[in-house]
Amino acid sequence: MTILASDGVSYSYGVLPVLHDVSLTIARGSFTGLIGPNGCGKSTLLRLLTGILLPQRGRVLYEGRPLESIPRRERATLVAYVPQQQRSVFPFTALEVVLTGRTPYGSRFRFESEADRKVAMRALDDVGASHLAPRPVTELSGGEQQMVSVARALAQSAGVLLLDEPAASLDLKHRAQLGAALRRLRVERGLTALVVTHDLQMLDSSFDALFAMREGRIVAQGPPSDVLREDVLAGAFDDSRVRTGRIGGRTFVWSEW
Amino acid sequence: MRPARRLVWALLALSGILAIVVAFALSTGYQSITWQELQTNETARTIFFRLRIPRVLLAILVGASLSTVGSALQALFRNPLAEPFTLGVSGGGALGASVAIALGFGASLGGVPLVFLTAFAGALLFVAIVYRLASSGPVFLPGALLLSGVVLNLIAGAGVLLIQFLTDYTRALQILRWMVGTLDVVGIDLVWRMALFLLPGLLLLLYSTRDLHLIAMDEESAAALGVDVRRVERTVYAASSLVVGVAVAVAGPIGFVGLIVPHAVRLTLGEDLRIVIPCSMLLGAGFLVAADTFARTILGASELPVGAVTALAGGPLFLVLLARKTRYAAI
Repeated sequence: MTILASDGVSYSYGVLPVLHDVSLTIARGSFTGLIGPNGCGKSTLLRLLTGILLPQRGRVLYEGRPLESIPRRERATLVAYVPQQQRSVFPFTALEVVLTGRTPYGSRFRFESEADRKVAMRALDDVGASHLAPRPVTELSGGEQQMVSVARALAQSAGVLLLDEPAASLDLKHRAQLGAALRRLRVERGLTALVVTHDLQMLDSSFDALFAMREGRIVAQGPPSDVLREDVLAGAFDDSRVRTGRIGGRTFVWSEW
Repeated sequence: MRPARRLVWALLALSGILAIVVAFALSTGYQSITWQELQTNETARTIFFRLRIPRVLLAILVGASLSTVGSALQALFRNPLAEPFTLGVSGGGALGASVAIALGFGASLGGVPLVFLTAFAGALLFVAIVYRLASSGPVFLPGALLLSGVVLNLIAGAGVLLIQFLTDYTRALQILRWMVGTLDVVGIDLVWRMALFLLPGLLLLLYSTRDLHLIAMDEESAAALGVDVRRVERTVYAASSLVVGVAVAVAGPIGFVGLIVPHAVRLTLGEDLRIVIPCSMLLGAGFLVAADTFARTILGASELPVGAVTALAGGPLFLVLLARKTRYAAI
């Protein structure tokens, strides 16, 4: 069952075209990966799927409803988004940041309820970061801040979670911790996620479907075994030296220089 | 303490502080006034009701305005050094206001004092320029933000000087006195008229506190959480320009109040903008009443311009904050 989909979506920043006729579907309860070289339009596609950018052609559909016809506040209860990198200037505590995930459920003139605080603490716990709750985010490492961002999106209790390179600033241990947390949430609570990533090693073991982009178009899609192939990846990344190999039941991808 | 309770206690405490400061300000002055004299002495009554009460009310309005706008602009631009004075918004208001003063202070357009309108227009124009120069996609370049504010202030200063030079002697003197920032006011009419314009602006800013709380963390996340970021930006610019324009039109560009007060609030009450903005409003009122009482009494018979007092207190604070780069990485 499709939960979120883009249907023939095109977008350009001014005269600079970024996306051409992109159609992508995310099945409920699935993990979908979006791969492709830098600047191919992955992040723009994610913003369109979140609804913070509107497509110039085509539509984004949430359970068949056009996303732009859904009021902003309701939309925030359906789609949660973790931007690539965010560094707050002000020393908000991690809990304050995560609590903002509850905004779409509250009133403009009320502070978050006790129930909201429980949801926020559980979201922090889910990513193994509850010890960070009282700390100012300005004093956290890049990896810790990323965990707080993911927790905020989890606290949003949305139908689908969109993550833009969540592992980019994480070290090996935090990367594994985040991956394990997302997989556990999928099993326990049926989490649906779309993940933009360059971390090709993580892919085949955890993802149900992959989409590969190049220059604003989807050039390959299917289960990981269909996409993580040397010929397909060579096309997507415009790099004839892409190699794949299997170690311990996982597919590894590298470029041979 | 939970944020809701923190806000209530803070508002109570700050109201108490404001009441004490106001009582002190009303009872202090070159001429000391006792309760007895207030009943019998006509001169004392005139000083108290025509000079002292309007002056304290003006200080409350201006202090609350500058501090509220300061805390809102800091959130919106994600820059702890932003405030009406450092961003050139006060300068724009001052330039607009001096045009009106040169044309004749009393002129009005459909009942609205011309000086309010031109100051509002000047402030709006300058905040638009700062926004254009400093914005780069979803981020504001902190250096460009403050630098354009400084240069706009210089331009406004030169503009005011030019107007002073071209206009007649009395008006030039009037502009000179007002440019330093002073809360000298006679009668209460102007204060009421001012309040009529400030109130809608301040209410709009209070209405936007939750949106500003989210935007202060991250603009994209705020948008994903359902905030119409562009609309909040437009609202805050318009409301800030109105509030600062009107405050500057009457009291002159009193600097750094919008920097000192929100920082004091954040140091004691944390970063939640839903707490910081209303508390800045109250503390700002008390702060300017106190600063003005100090300015008009410290020398005995003659008085200091309150703008010079706040600038002497706030300028060094700005530099201290600038030096603390570790806490505010974006400066």
